[in-house]
Amino acid sequence: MNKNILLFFATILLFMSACTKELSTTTNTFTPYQGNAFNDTTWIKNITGISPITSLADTLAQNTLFTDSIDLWKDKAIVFGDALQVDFKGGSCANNAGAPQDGKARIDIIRLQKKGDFIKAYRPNTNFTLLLETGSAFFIRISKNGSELALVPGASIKIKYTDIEEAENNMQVFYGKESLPFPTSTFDPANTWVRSLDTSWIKTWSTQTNSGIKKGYELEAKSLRWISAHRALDPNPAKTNIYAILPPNFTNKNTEVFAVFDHNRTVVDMHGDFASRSFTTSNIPLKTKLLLVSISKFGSDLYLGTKLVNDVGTVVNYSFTPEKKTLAQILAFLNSL
Amino acid sequence: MINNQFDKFFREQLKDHSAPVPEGLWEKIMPKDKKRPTAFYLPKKIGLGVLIASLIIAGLYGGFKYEQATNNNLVNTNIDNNSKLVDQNIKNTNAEGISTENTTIISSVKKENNFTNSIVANSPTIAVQKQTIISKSSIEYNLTNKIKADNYSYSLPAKGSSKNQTKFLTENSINNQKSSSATTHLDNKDEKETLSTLPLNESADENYTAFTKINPSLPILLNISETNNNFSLVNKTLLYNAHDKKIQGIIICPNIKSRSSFNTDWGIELYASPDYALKYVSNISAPQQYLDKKDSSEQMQISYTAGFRLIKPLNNNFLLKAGFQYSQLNQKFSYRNENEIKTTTVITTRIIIRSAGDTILVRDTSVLQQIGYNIKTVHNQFRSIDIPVTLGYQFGNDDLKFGINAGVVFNLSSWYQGEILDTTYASVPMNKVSNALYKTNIGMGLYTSISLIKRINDNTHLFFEPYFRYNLSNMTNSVSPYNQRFHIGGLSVGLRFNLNR
Repeated sequence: MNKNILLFFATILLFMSACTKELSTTTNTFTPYQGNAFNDTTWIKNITGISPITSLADTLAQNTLFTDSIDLWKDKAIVFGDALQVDFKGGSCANNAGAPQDGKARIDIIRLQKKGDFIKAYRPNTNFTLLLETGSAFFIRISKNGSELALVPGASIKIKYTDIEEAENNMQVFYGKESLPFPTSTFDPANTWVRSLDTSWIKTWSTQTNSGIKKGYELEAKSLRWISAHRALDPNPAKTNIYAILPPNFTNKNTEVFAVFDHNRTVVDMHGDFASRSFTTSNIPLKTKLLLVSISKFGSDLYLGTKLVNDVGTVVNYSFTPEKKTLAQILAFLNSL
Repeated sequence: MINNQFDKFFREQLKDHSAPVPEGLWEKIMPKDKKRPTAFYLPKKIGLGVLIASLIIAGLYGGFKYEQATNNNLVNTNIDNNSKLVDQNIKNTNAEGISTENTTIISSVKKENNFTNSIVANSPTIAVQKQTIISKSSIEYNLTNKIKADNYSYSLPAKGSSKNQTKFLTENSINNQKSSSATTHLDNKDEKETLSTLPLNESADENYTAFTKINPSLPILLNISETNNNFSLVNKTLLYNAHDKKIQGIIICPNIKSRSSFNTDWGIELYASPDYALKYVSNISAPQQYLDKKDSSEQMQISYTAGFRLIKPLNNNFLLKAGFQYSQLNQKFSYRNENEIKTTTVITTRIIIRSAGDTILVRDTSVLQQIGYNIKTVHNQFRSIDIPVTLGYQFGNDDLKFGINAGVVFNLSSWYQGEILDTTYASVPMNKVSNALYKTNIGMGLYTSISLIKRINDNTHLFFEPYFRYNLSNMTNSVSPYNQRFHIGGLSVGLRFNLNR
């Protein structure tokens, strides 16, 4: 009996001493949300219109829109401050059937000046795979009773504007080639700039004002919608492909990636490469300093990622992780480019 | 003379004659012997602990008082009852051979397998001197009458002259077949009785048997059990009972089976029990939504208690217990956090093309993020050290007893560990140091239980004791926006050891 009692008390003492230890255990069981876009790490070969990236492009399309009304049969100089002037000639518009139109019409103008403007409008500065340097771009649309009009053959509109950079003498007129007409969809991966048949240089101008000398371009466009002043980058330097590698959450369904050149007003779209699960572009000159910018959208959440590349060289793959940002933060960032 | 011849004739004829015990006699006796008071009403449902415990305590107290009163009256009751029985079978003939006056002999005969249906007392001698009673007897029983065998009590006038001395004689033939002797020593400091030798000398008058004696202040209860005439064992038991109960002048002859009965000095119970706690929460100032959320996040789990209790028997049925126990209540705290981000480091390998014909393999380490909900599970522990004090009543036979207990549990200390949900719906840790809601002493609780006790050997019993503990105080302090307390039910399993044997 005594042995039993001693054994019991020894057990109790052991038990009590064990009780001084921290026995509480914490377990965490994580369950991903089903159907949440952030958890979708799959890539697709063909970007569809319903992908989150389409919504992202529409969200970012925050460029300033200038609107005025015109009499289609009268000449009018539409002036937006002292930085932009559009000279419209009467009788130059026709409907889709080619019939000249008169009466009142609405003119909408979007100007792309900064590199961030081209990102917001998803209009990279490329002619197919050829890199371009821009001297601003415009979206001009004239519509009557909701129907978009076009310039009749031989007609033109003159755009005189002040540029944010020194005006170059070797700029040419380019028109935007669209596969998805804006503003039906901002996201148009097949869009590109196509040089005008008129390959003459765009006129530059300068004038003395109270605030100093203003310089700009005066281009004459023979068609509406996307109009720009571009020139090709130097085709001679050695070029390479570059890759942006993002975490698995950031796929070609939800992410746009651009290469923003530092010394040129050039923005290049880096498209999603299904094979390597990365974003890539080609024809990047070696030793180029550029900034990789990724913008992603998961539901209503936006992510912004940047990667500064000082010297494109033998290393052509760049990894970085986007961070969650607000739309205002992203727009502010883009406006700063 | 004629009578003597007649008696002698029968004595000669019936000498060495024994009659068989009728079948079924002892079967009729045993149930009666085993009949025990079932005592108390046990509620099927343990409801309000206070009321039940109070009723039980009151019942136990009343029962205890009643038990005391019953014990005090036991001798007289037995005397009365047995006198009636003996009157039918025994004739009081003569007082010769008894040397003391005013004697009373109470003989209780229980089931006797080898009983021969005849009782003959041959020169029994019981001596009492100061603290010692020496009983020498040569008794031979040969009782031809049917005996219901439970108790035979023989009462003599308490006081009187030698004329009042009484001897009891069976009317049936009595033969002296064999004899036995027993010596009993009683430790009775108060008794200053002179040594009295009480020869029941059959030679003086062989036609009767005197079952004793003795002393006007020392009524004797003699209980002869069935197994055999092992008077040494009887007297040993007499010694214990007379010593323990300290009832002067009463010799209680317990059942010989008391070899297996529980020691009345001290005992100890060592036990452990699985518990389950019932949580009761009442609102003070907390939003109901918070209480609902809190309630859904907490789930009580199997807990346990371990400890020991010292037992002091108050008599054959009532036990006073006090001890020390450690309890740990386990609670599962689960809380779901939404929009949790889980990050996983992944290493990817890609093939990239720097230029035409220039392909390289790129190994990249990145972080995969997933959004979802996280269920955080914490095993909370509420620990306490308590002192249980209970009063128990037990009944049954030597192998199996039942008991009912009630009492109080005093909390010495309580401490907690884990996490709880605060009013901002955030889980906050609690531990011994940072604990703003719970007391470190939850006060007193009521305790009630029933027990089943199985004898393993003379010194060890195994018991099972379902119990319920009703805490009277809240475990939350005054700053808590709600009141919370636990009531605990469990099944104690343990061993009871007899001490001082």
